[in-house]
Amino acid sequence: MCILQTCISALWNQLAVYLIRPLTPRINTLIPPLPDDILVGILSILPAKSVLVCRCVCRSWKALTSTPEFLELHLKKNRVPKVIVQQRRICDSKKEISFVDCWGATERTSTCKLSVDSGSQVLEFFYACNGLLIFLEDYKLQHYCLVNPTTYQKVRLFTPEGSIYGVFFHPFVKAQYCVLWGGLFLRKDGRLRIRILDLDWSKSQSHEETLNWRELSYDDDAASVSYEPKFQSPPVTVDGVLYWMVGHRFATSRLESSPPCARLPDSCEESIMSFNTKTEKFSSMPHPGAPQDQLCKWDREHTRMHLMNKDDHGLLCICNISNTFNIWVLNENKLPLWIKWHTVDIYTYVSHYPFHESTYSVRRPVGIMDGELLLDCKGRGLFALDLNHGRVKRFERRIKNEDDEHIYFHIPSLIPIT
Amino acid sequence: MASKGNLTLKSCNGKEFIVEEKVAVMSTTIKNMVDVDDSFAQGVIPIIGVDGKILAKLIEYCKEHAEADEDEEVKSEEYLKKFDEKFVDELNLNDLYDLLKASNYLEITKLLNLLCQKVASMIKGKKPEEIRRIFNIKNDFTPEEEEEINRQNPWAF
Repeated sequence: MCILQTCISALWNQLAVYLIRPLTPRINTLIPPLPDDILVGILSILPAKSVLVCRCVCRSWKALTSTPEFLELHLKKNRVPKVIVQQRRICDSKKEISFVDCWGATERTSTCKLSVDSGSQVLEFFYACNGLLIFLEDYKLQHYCLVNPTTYQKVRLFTPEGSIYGVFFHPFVKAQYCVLWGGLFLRKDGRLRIRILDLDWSKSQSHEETLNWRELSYDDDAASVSYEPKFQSPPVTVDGVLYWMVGHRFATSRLESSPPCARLPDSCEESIMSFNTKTEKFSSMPHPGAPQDQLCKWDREHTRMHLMNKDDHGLLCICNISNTFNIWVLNENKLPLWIKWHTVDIYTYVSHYPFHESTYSVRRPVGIMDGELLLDCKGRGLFALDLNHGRVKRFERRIKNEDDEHIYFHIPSLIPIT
Repeated sequence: MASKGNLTLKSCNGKEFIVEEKVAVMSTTIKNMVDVDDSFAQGVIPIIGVDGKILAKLIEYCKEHAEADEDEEVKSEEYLKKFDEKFVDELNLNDLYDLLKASNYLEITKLLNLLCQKVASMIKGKKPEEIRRIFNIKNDFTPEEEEEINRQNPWAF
């Protein structure tokens, strides 16, 4: 009882100290500043753009919004992608990227444009991944350019031949990006060389050429080695694990004898790869549906299967057979591995919308959020299908040349890359 | 003296409020006090540093929400949403700040989130000088620093 009383009296003392502040006499016009913890709570729920504006307000706001802790908190509180990215070609070396703020709204609310210039001849928008845009500057040399469109930072990666598998957030260090890269050159044991680059912005990197790649060491008895992701297909990040559909390495097609690990796996059992960013281990799994399905016979690359993030905590695989979309959700704890979640007949939703001139009749799922599937139907427009209620919304698109358009989800991120 | 099931809260300027326990324990801080020591449940709980006006506001909010948690039919989600909107709209900046500090200290999470959203909405879409004016913040950057910031952030405006 005595200890309890001591505890309580200590508690009261603490409260008194804490609450002295509001009691101090106040000049009518000047409002005393909020305590930092409350202010951080407020600033962290602002959109990334507003945070940048807040950094210009005063020194203390700038300091509060620049710490790694704040950046991490901000990302955590702004995980829902609200923006989609579209690309337009101005010329080969210049691309216009627009960010359309339309998710969850019936009409687009805002667009902002970013032009990316390249000194090299070609600049190919690769994809948007975890808040960054990835461009390929040189096919042959595999030079990449990473852009954070929110902070307007750019980093060039002069990598030895190979390709980017994806970018992810460092699992342990706060507010830092990492790049996963698969090399074309093999190790002595015939496996792919996998490298990771930490984009550690706290250390100044004066020359981009000296970026510090770290080669991944994997055990000799590791069950799985990496197969490459599909071309221009960003990995999906779920709880610190990257997932991707296995695809052809575009670079190896030039090689006369490509190594086994750079080809497609022999069976659909290994059609989906995953990389755990904490343990740095690869593993593989089969895609949903029966492997003997018609689909796989003529589509060994599984071009009509797409992985998606389900509300940030689950993995979905969307399989498109003709007009039907089968949506499967991953159940890692028990068999069957994939459970069918929804079957959607796209035709009933979109067929009555006029078909604009287009060479494509492609229907590609862009993402899924809160039970709504965002669907890119080239020629007909961009649709949001409410899977539970069967409602459909159509977004107007202003980009005329649809041939050069790619649409991706994008989470504005304040985490610096350089 | 409060009857059973009621608690007496006392503001820093001596005003006493008798509230139902379910209303008072919306505050995690008060809930912990009552859980630790029964004597609080019978006596008066002084809420140090929160004056009568702010405490009345806090109780008004907690009452609506505690009743809604108990009976969803009478106070629907829609009703609460409207109540919340009206509640924050009527606050001036001084009260808003005081309520923020009080709800932070008393750990009334729902109210704290609501108030943070309100302040965030006052910041969103504004220019730095507008934000300074609204919140009475002094621009303490040197002209050189300001130029540097504007150079780094040309896309922000």
